[in-house]
This record gives sequence, structure tokens and C-alpha cells, in this order.
Amino acid sequence: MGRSSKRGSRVLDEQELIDRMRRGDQRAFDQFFETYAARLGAFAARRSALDAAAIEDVVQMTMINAMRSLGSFRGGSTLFTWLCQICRNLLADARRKAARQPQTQSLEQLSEEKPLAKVVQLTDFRDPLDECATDSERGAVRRAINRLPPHYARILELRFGDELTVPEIARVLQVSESAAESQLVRARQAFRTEWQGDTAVGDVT
Amino acid sequence: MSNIDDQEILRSHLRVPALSPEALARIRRATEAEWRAQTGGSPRRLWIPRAAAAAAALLALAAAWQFWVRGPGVADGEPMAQLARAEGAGIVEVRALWRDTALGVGSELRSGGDFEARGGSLLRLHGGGNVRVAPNSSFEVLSANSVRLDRGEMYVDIPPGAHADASFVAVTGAGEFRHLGTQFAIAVVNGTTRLRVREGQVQWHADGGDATLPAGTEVLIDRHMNVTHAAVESTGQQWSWTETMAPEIDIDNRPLGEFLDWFARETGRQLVIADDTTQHQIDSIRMHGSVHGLTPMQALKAVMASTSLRFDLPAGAIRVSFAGDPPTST
Repeated sequence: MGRSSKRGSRVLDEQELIDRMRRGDQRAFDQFFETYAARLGAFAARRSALDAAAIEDVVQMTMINAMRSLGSFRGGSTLFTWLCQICRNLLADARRKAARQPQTQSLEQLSEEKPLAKVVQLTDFRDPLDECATDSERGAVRRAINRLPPHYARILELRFGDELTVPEIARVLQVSESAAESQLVRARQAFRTEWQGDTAVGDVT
Repeated sequence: MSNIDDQEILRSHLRVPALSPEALARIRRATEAEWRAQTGGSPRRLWIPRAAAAAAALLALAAAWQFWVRGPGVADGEPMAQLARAEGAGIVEVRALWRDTALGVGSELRSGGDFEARGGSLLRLHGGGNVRVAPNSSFEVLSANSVRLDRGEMYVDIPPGAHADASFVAVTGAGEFRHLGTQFAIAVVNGTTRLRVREGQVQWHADGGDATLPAGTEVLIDRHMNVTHAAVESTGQQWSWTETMAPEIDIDNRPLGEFLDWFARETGRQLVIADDTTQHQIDSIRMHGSVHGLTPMQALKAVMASTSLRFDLPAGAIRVSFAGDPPTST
């Protein structure tokens, strides 16, 4: 079966899943949630610097917005891509909101938003300089990934985030193994280019 | 950057912690509630016709088992409250010599009954208001309007006007605590009673006399009746468990102002409307959809995201303003 026909059948399956959900089919909802919720969590975590509670909020809002917009899914993209687009918009809102927040917080505010135990757990036993360097590198990776075309970012996440093998990636993307392999090579090349650009800028500043 | 470098960097930064099972369960609850609200999906049914005959036979056996194993019926005194929600292992009625009886949502809690909350539980009081019981608490229902807390913590939320005929009373070894239009939390730990008054007043009656404790007061009374006073804020971590057990609000086709009042009460914050324009906006908005399964804060974010209003949370308050109007610094 060719790539386009495989994609066509997947889109049809997904459209059918959505149609069943719109008719109130509980099993369709279960399948939808089990397929996409955890993946969306990983997507949001990789594409943002938010903490676990904020990631949960974003995923929840993504799913709720998706439920409100089930009728607008037309199958022009895959269901996961559609969900990711909703999620991206919410992440962008969260970033804008964070940019408007004051950079300092009172201890009372901090303990209200993050229980003290959690703050201690996150920072304990880490050298602040190491932590700073790691955060900086993580931010550079995130920026580079966010600048890539979505299909490149996706394949890199499948390979290095979810640790799927090339045959497994081929099955997920419903393409041939050789197509998955070559797309992975191109994605890594594109990442290297973006990464080098970002770190070069970082060096200068 | 070498090939090895980029793989290592990608591996180390693209691996992210998965959402916890608890987080996924919360998300699922909220998503499913919204899905049902949008599609009218029917509640989960596990009806298997072929098992119907077998189930009928089992019912007969179960009835016999109920009679021989569970003993006499549950407490049949005055009804105080109905179990509205139970988390985790829920709530059981404890009966000496007989097997504990797990209560389902909708069960009545009647006077004469001893209960243990094994998970957080929300009780809807028949006289109005609600009581939230923390996990690992045990209590006895004394009458339609009173309860004795033996261990653990409970939060009493009785809006003004409710329980007009007879005040609700929580009893511990330290005496009786009577609501006077109130939100308060009462805890018993190792024989010490701790009372925190969030709103209104609580009248404390003990052998030594009476005292009226206003909002913002925390009192510790040990088993020797030594009393320690402190101040307590109406917001903060100490109340967060009560918010996770908040009664759900039905927002569909309801005015936004009603939701904001609910949020303010549930979170112990004062509702501040920025100006007349904002008030006009609030008055004109009716909500659609559902916030079932969401905590008050999650519900607030969900609701406000669909309006042209914004909110900020200065200490002890929620301030709502028309979008574009920057919040005052606090």
C-alpha cells in the first residue's frame, strides 16, 4: 500500500473515531483518551518550560477545547496534529502570560502556588551552576525543535523522546521503513542547523 | 556538533517525565465531563445481555449473603446528610461485630451511625451546606444537625441562611463548635482539637464556658484544655484539600456572576469587580458547557478563557476586569 493511501485510511479511521464520539460512543471516547492524552502530555512538556502542574492544566484545556470543537475536525491533518495545534496555542498563551508576570515572587506566593516540599524536592542536591547550564541547553533544544517543520520535530520526538526504533516509527507514521529512515536523517540535519544557529547566538550574547 | 553529540543532546532533552496516573485521571474526568456535556453521551454502561441470567442467579445468592454476613441494617436514625462524592476508598459505616459497609454516592448518613472516611468525602447536609471529610477521619452522626469528630479533619461550609432552624454543631473532646453562618475546619489529632475559622463565626461551648471565635482565628485545644490562639489566612495551602472536594457547580446557561461567587466562596477570596464596565460584562454573560471534575481554580481558568474578561489573584481576593484593562499592582 502506498504512503498516501495509508494516510488516507488513517484519516478515515480518525474521522470515524470523531464521528462516533460525536454520537456519544463511550468506547470511542475511551480509545481517543487512551491514545492521545499521555502523548499530548509529552508534547507539551517537550515544547515548553512549564512545571508538571502547568503541563497538566494545558493538556486538560487542550482536551476540553478539543471536546468543544469536535465538529470542526475535518481530517485535513491527523488527529494528533490537530490536538497539537490546539495545545501549541495554549502553550503560546501560557508563555505570553508568563512574560507579563513579575520576575520576582514573594515567599507567600511561592508557597501558595508550589507546596514547599515540592520546591525543595526540585532543587535539592543539585549544583545551581549545573542546573543553570542544563536549563539553558534544554531551552536551546526546545527552541530548535519548535523552529523545525512539525513532521521533523515529530520524528525526532518519536526516535529520541519515545525511544522508538525506525520500524516502530514507520508503523506509527504509516510510511515505509526507508522513508522513516531518510526523514529521520533529514530531521537530524535540520535540528543540527537550528541548534548551531541558536548556540552561536547564545555564545555571542 | 558531531552526530554523536546531537543524538545525546536530543536523548537527554526530549525524554520527559510522563503525566502521573493521578494527573491523567483528573484530566480524563474533566475531559469526559465536557464530552458528555457537548454530545449528551450516556454514562458508561457495561450491560452484557448474555450475563443477565447469571446475574439474576447471583442476586439471589447475594441476598442470602447479605442476610448472613452483613447482619442487621445500617443506622436508621434521623438523616443528617447524603454522600455526594467519595474519592479513593470512600466512606464506610463501621459496625461492631459486623462487616463494615461501604457507602455509595447518594447514601444517607443517619444518626447513630459510626463512619470512617477512607478517602476524601463530600456530604451534602439536609439542612443546607456541606461537610467535607478528609481521608482517615472517623466520626459519629449524633443527630440531624450534629456530628462528633473522633479523628481526622472535616470542613463545614454552611452558607448564610442555611440551617436556620437549628445550628449545625461539630463535637470533639474539646467541646461543641456551633456554626454561625460559617466556613470552618475542625481537626482532631492525638486528642488535640484544632479549629480554623475561615468565614463567619463559630461559637465554642465547653464546660468552662462559651467563646465566639471570628474568621481568621486558629485555636488549638489539647486534651488538658490548654488553649493556643493563632491567626489563619482565608487562602493558602491549609485549605487546598477542601477545594479538591468542593461541590460541583452546574454552569450551563447560568450567569457568570453566579460562578464567580462560587469560586470566591470556595477559595476563601473576596470577589473584586474592577469597574462598571466589567460588572456590565459579567451581568451579560451566560455560560455554556460544564466544569464537572475540575477544581475551583481549574474551573476558573476554563470559564474565563472563554470570556473577554481577565482575572488576577491579589492576596485574599480575585479581581476581575475587562480585558485590556491592566490589573492594579498589589
